[in-house]
Amino acid sequence: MSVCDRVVPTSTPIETLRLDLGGASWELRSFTDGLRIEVDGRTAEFVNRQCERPDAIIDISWGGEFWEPGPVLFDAGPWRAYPAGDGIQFDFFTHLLGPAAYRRAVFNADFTFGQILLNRRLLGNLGAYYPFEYPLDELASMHRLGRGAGVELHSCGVAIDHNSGFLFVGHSGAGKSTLGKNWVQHRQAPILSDDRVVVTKGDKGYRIHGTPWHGEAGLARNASVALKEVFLIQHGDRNQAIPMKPTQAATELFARSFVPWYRADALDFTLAFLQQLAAEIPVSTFHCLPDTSSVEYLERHHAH
Amino acid sequence: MSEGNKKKYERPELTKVSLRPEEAVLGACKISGGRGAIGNDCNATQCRTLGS
Repeated sequence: MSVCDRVVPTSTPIETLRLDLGGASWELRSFTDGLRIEVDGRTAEFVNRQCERPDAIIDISWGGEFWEPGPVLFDAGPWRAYPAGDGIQFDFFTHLLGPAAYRRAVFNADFTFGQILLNRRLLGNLGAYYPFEYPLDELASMHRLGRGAGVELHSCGVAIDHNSGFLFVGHSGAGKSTLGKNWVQHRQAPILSDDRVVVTKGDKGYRIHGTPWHGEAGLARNASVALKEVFLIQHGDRNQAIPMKPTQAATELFARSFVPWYRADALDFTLAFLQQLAAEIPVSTFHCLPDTSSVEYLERHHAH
Repeated sequence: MSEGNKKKYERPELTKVSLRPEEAVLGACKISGGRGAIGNDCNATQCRTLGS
């Protein structure tokens, strides 16, 4: 019996919810009597009302006493990862609820199926809760991407027209949210996210997807456009974009990617994906001023 | 390939790229847009980053 078989709901779900996360649709099926699913504010934008087949299904149930997990694969503090057969298990902790895990999630190897168990003793009186709440939603998406679906980058994605967009990649403090706000202010441009954007590659090339995990500007949109160009942003005393060599670009992008560092297969895939991206899409360093002149500069030199 | 078409030799370069583990590892403190979230427990003692 695999870990995923340990808790299998037998009835039909009480509630279902479909989400778009990073180019994939996730269906949450709740079996938790007495607990409504209530999405948080930033996730509401990503609720999917279409009826297409989901890419992943996650069943949500009450758990009694959680079984003792195996050896820890990675301990991030608020969450821990454990091997679970071919898949992976995450336990979540908060000092607000004591030392026991309040939530456990188990996924199969390719992240097409998962189960979330909620600790009834700790969460039984909530009435409403979003069982896929951060950081589980981002962790699940990140692991699925690392299986070959794409890469999540620390970046701000801007749709410069109906079909295409720029990706501004940078560590914290590089100016992603400021750039996003400037594009909104100057061009009313849709911002896919001012902090986390997913890049995928399909038959028609690379696409960038909005995510709920926004930054300081709170900009997030459930949309995707074709990727036109990538900029590694840094503060400058004037606006100037300098093309990068693909190898250098791939390395810098990798340093700003979100990957499960403890999964060798995900690291291999991410490096190869970014190498190919940097060879096919122009990547530049963008020294920029923190005002709308940076938008004007890119429109003049790069938007056509 | 003729001599004229030969790609110019470039010496391999070793460059160091800084990784930021405090940003790369998802924490509990991404900016919250909802109410009553448990995972967005920004007062948690484990919390090290705002993650944005």
